[in-house]
Amino acid sequence: MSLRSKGAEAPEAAAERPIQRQDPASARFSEQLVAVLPRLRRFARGLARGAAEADDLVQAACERALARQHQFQEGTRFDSWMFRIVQTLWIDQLRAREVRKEDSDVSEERLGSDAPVRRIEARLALAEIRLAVERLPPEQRSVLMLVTVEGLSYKEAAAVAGVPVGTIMSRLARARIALHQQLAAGAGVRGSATNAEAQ
Amino acid sequence: MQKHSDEALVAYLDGELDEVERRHVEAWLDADPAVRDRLEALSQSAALLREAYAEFHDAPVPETLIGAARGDGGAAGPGGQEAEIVLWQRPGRGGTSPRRG
Repeated sequence: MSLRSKGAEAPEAAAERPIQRQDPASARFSEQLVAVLPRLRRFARGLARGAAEADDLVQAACERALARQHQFQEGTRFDSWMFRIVQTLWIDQLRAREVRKEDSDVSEERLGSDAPVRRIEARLALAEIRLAVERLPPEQRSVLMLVTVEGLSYKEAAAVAGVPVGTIMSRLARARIALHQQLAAGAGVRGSATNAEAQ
Repeated sequence: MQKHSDEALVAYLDGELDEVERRHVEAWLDADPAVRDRLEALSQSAALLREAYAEFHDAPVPETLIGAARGDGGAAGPGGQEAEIVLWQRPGRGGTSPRRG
């Protein structure tokens, strides 16, 4: 039985047993990567169409990061380097979807899941926010997540996205205004429904 | 960036303005309550946004992802799938030897 990844040859002799160990530098790199996984998951969740797709994105990012670990420059920001990998993989995915003409409007987000009744409204509101984010154009979605959620400075976000700071600022402002307008529209509809019930 | 703009308000909230720009925005806010409302609305939607994604940061990381980060399963390592370095233990040799997969 082979423990190797796809594409690798299986061992011929049953007597050979593979020992897969990381050298100390790789082990240190991996632990850095483990430490940023929560932030990568959160960032990916803002890009992807659902939690499962987000984790798939993070998994792919881990594999790419390990394969390219020698390219990471010690002393530079590891989180930015990883955000860039996640974003690049996601953009590749979007392009591939376009080429295959897959339905890009299908979100995995489900409203009103199995939460206790008293918390349903709160969870609905948060799910609506995520759906509003999903409706943003990709470049606005990405900068919104990097800056407003992940807390990167404009300069750091510009480095991740590979655009000037001015572009970050204009995309971010558009994203935040669009988000606010969507949330306000949703709240207005819910507010009027509530008032009608109260009467 | 225009001095009176959504960009300026957002940059102000993000702490990205220099001192001159910041004082200018504050004067603008002082002078116009509608702009103060807009700032407040932007601030609130940002707070809601962060709340909407908090659970994905705070939840325990699945073992599969931790394993992926550690290169378990042989899927990744320096050089990735193109040039996997795996240590094999051959009986009778008493040591390990690197072999490119």
